[in-house]
Amino acid sequence: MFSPDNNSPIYLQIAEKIKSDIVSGELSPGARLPSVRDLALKLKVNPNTVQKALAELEMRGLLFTERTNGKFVTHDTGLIISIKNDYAKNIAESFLSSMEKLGFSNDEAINYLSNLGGEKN
Amino acid sequence: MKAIEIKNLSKSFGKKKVLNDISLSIDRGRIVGLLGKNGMGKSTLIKIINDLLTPDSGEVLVYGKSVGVESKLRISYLPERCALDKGMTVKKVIKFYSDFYGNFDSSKAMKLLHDLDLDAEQKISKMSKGMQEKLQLALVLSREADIYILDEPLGGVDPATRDYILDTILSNFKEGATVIISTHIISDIERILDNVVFIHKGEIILTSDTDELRSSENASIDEIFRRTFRC
Amino acid sequence: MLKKLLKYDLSSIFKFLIIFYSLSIIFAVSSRFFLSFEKSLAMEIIGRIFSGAAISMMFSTIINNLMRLWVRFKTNFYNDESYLTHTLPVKRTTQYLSKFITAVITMVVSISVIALSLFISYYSKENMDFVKSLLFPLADSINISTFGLVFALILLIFLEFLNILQCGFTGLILGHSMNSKKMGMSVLFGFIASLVTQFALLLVLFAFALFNDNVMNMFITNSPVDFTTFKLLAIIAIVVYMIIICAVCLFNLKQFKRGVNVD
Repeated sequence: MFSPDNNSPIYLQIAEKIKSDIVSGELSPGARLPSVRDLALKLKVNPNTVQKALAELEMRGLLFTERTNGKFVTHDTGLIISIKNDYAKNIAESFLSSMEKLGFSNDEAINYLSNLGGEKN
Repeated sequence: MKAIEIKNLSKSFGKKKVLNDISLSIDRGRIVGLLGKNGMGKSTLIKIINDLLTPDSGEVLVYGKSVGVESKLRISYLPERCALDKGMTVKKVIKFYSDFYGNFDSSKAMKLLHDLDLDAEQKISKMSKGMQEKLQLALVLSREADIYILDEPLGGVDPATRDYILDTILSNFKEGATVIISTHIISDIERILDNVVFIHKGEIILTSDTDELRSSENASIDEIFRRTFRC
Repeated sequence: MLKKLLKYDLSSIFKFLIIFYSLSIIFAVSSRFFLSFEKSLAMEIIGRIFSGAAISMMFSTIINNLMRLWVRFKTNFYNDESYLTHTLPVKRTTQYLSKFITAVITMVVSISVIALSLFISYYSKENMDFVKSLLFPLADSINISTFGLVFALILLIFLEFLNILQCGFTGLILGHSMNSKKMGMSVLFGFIASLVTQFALLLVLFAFALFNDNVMNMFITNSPVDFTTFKLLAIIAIVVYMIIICAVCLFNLKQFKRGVNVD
């Protein structure tokens, strides 16, 4: 289970975790989030910290509030996909730069990756 | 209005200056850690807020008013020692609390006792120190208070129980209330703090939002505390 | 809130004193019972033992009453329990008054129990006649009933005890405002307070003597007590004691309201 560590701002860690749950589909568009207090208890942190994390996500449009019912994941699948692409881009770029350090050119790295994919299949 | 406002507070015992011109204000609804090594003035400050010590100078305002009957009704205080009449049974103590505190919830107390594995018929003098601490915590959390002040709630508790105690605190204080926790054991507790106040040799040397401090120092509060007070 | 405090204060003191009350009455009844057998030496010896036990139990009752009130004052206000006492949403003055009223009530009850035990042990026509004959000339000459005289004397004793008790409270309050040696200083301040009050009483009586030759005679000569003067003195002593007790009470309230410093 996810548990924030003490070395960086806890609200950012929580926001990041929820964001990745949304992108991975674990939290589907329109899904309702648990209440702040419940989340706080589950994560063993202070309700104010959860509040701050959710506010952060809401600001970026990933969550929205229905006044009486609580917080929900956005229906804007376009936004979710664009964030997913950002993640993918980051991972790909860091892969390529790591391969480069090992002496692979971009083409060689891509070749290597597709061969690896071939083996797996 | 602030939950607690402390203005130029000083206190000496004989020639020993324990608090030196301290000023501090605590916003409502925050969970604040009062952090410092033992004997640096944490308990003295807390005792002045609770009217157990009389300051030499300066003042404490609770919701804008001096310490008195009203502030005592607002504050639910967990002292670092057993303050209960040892001759009473648990049940009797609960009756005592509900007699005096209008905001005490007896049924919640009974539920908490059950959760904490305490026997309502038992005499306090027959309980172990750990059980007495748990009982006091249950009583303190059963009050619908505006401010909870917990003096070393993890002091005498073994590490395995610490998480459990913290969870009990988190899930039971009144929503929206202010919580002040004094401790010298920081690693277990820092995840629940909004703000920290470092107190050293009777002076406040740092107050900050917890997450801001983490990101500006790039370290855990525990580590920052150790760095600051390296001995 | 005063009512609730009183409930806990009274029950705590009475729970302790009930043992002394029952023992002194049991001893009194036993002594009465065994002494009622005439012409039996064994029974009489047992009766005398019970009678002695009853008397010593009566003394213990009053002494333990005082001690218990002081102990509770200290534990409630200055020991570990003070962390709860002083954080109750109750005014300090109410806290003090509860202790004071508890003292008055428990001491009235204790003195009544003692009187009852004495009555059980020693009531008989001859004894009563003896007491009457002892007190009658006095009572008659100052123009009150024997009962009234007894009552006045008991009231004086009661006020004396109440004053000593409250001086003990003064001692505890002042002693605990010190930074160290709190207990020793408490005892010292207690003694000083009780000396000051006794001295104040004497001073008032002496001041009174300046305007009344009969009273002055009592102070400066060994002449036998003149009964009218005696009555006057008793009344003055009662009034002055009451004033002193109120004054000490106000002093204590003022000190106590200033705040405490518990360890």
